[in-house]
Order: sequence, then structure tokens, then C-alpha cells
Amino acid sequence: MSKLGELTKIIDETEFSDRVKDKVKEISVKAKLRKESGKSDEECLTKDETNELMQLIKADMILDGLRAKACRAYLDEIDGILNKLIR
Amino acid sequence: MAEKFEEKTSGEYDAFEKKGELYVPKEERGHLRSEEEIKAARESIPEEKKIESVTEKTQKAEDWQETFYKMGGTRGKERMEAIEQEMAQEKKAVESAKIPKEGIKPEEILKEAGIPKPAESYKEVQERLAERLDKGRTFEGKKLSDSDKFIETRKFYLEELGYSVKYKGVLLDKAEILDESGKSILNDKGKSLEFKSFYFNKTEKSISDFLKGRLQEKFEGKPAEKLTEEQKLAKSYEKTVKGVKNAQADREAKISFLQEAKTFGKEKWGKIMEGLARLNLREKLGMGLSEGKRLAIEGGKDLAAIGLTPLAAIEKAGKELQWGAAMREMKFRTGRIHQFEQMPRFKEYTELLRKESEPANEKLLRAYESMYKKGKILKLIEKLS
Repeated sequence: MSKLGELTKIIDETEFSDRVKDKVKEISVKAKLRKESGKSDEECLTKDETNELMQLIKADMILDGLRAKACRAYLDEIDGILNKLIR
Repeated sequence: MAEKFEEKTSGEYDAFEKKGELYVPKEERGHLRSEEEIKAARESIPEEKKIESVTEKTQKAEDWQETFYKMGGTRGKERMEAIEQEMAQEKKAVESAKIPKEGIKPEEILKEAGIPKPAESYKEVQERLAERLDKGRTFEGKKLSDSDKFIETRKFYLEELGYSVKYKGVLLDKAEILDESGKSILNDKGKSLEFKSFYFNKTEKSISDFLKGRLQEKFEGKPAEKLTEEQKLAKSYEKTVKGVKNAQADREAKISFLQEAKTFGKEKWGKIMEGLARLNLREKLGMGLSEGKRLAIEGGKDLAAIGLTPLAAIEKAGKELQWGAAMREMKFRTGRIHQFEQMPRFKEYTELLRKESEPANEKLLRAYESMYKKGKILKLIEKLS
């Protein structure tokens, strides 16, 4: 599979938040269409699109990180209760 | 005689008049006041001196009792108020924090959220441990005590090695160590290596010493493993997932152990009530504020690109998770605690911990999976550009 094929495939399989979902899919579809029209992998994303895509994904990754932090905090609270009860 | 009586009563009555706020003036004695007059007299009394009606008093007492039980007693209530104040201050701190001019690196996001790159030397492992102990806070937000540090160190070793602990014995007083593939570690004679459990004795040293030795062996005398960036990412992700799953297994073992108890002390009742009250309160105030603030501020520039401030991002992430559905179903029973009577309730409450931890753990794994995939996407984009 080409690098771009790999990229668009993993984008399709990944969950994005509502805030970035549409834009990420839009860029991904544009890249796919360019590939189908015979362009090379490197030509399928413009510089601006590459930057925007990276920015959106990074921001969404931070949101995931914050979700993970919230989950961890909740689980830490539960662990705290359990440790106190076991002691 | 009559004169003396007159003197006495009048004196007592005067004293009463001075004390009472709703007294009937002398000239009106014998006159029954209308409802309007009573209302007007009531309104003229300063708020702090007003006497509550019986209904108001009962209502207040009931409300107080409910709060009291929810908060896990008087000391619990004080702690809850302290959390509220602390969270309000943290909110202010996040709101007024200075956002760095540069965006955050993907590796930093992963590390901050709990997926750090694999360590390449024993020295690096030690540095990470020192950082974790220094930054670590108890679930009450305090710095780690020596005993907490000991527990955290053991947890760190287990995570680094990908090992887990299997408790044994009726009192869970023995433990076996399971390696990365979940197999029991054997001694020279081919039997499972058995340790004294740290289930009750938190600072039991033998397991920690063994793990430290294993970790040292893993790095020393061996050249660092050569991995590509993608392989490093995959390895860190796998290790994190394993740690999360092991932690949940440990939680479940503890819950089952507590549920097998036939009785419990008053102290434990207080602890579970206070713990659940804390959980309810933190859920209400927003989860992940204290823990996520560094990531949100450091990534402030990137979040701004999708129209979020650090605080808005933390609140959004916390709300999306929809915490505490089971907690809200909880009914607090007031009245005196009789440990035998309350045993089913104690079991019900410990079961709540299971009900709450399972989805939280699944959501945590989903968040990590999503981060891992996004990490891969970023690496692929880098390759293309």
C-alpha cells in the first residue's frame, strides 16, 4: 500500500472529535481524489493542507490526552478509596 | 404577700421581654394580634435573630443530615469544602495562565497523557522514577509521603517491566509475579517464585527489590534496542495498555476481597461514604482539572487553532465522558450505623466502585488508542511532506 493509501486508511479508522472531524475527512478525501487522478504521494497534499491536517490532529490528540487525564483522575479516586478500605 | 408576688412576676416578665423578639408590648397584653400584625412584627426582626418555624427547622435538619451523610461526616464535609476552594483556585490559575508561543510536540502530548517513549537506559528509568515521585500527588492532592513513594515506586517498576502481581492465600498474604506474557516467574527449582504480599503491609520490600533487580538486568550490559520511531510508539502504547489493564485487574481483586467480608468496622463505613462523596463532588466539579492543566496550557496554542481555551478544553473533555451514572442512582440512608444491618449496603457501595471503574477504564483505553492512531498519522504525514 502507498504511504498515502496507508494515511487515508488510518484516518478512516480513527475516531475524531466533532470539532475537527469534518475538516480532517475533507482534506483526506481531497488527497484521495488527487491520488486517483494520477498524482504522486507527495503531490496529494498541499503544504497548507499538510500544516492544517497536522494542526487539527495534534489539537485532537491533546483533547484525547485530556480525556485520558480525566479518566485517570477518576480511577485514581477509586484507587484511593480502595486503598483506604483495604488498609 | 400579693405585693411580693406582683414584684416577682413583673421582674421575670421584664427579663423575658428583653430577651424575646416577638414579645407583646405591655399595653397590648391580652390583645390577640392579627396575622398582618404578626407578619409585620416578624419583618421588623433582623434576619440573624429570626426564629425558625418548626417546619423550617425540620427541613433544615433533614437537609443537613443528607449533606452530612453524603459528605461522609463532619471531617468529610470540611475536606469537601477544601476541594471546592482548591478547584476554584485551579480554575482561575488555568484561566489566567500564559500560553507558550510555540505549539506542543506530539511526543510531549503522549508523554504527558501517560504514553512515554520507552526508556533507553537504566539511568533514564531512574530519572523518570524520580520525576514521577516528585510530581506525584496523593488522591487528596498532597505531596507523596515516604510510604506513598514506596508504593508508587513498586507500581512504576511493574509498569516498566510489564509485569503484574497475582495475590494468593485466603488473606491474600502471598503473591506471585507474572511476567510480560502473564506467566508466573519461576525459581531455580522450577516452582513459582512466591513473595510476602504487600496487600496489607504496603511497605513490604521483597517484591520491590526483586523488580528493581530485574529492571537493572534488563538494561545493564545490553546495548540499547534499536527501534524505528513507529516501533517505539507501538511499544510505548502496548506497555501503557498493559499497565491500564493490570491496574483494573488489581482494582477488581480488591473489590472482590472487600465484598467477601462478613462484617466491617464503623471506620470503614465512614471511609467509603467519604470516598463516594468525594467522587460525586469531583465528578460535579469537573474531572481532570488538576491533572490536565499542564497539558492544556502547554498545548494552548494548538487548542486555540480549534477555538478552545485550555480551560474550555479540560471541561469539554471531562463532560464528554459522562461520569457517575451509577453514582447518581445512589441513595444515602440516614440513621445510626449498625454494621451487620448495613453489610448489604456496604457491598452495594463497593459494587458501585466496580460499576464506575469499568467504563472509566474502557474510556481510558479508547482515549489511548485514539492517541496512538493519531501519533501514527502524524508520523505518516511527516514522511509524506
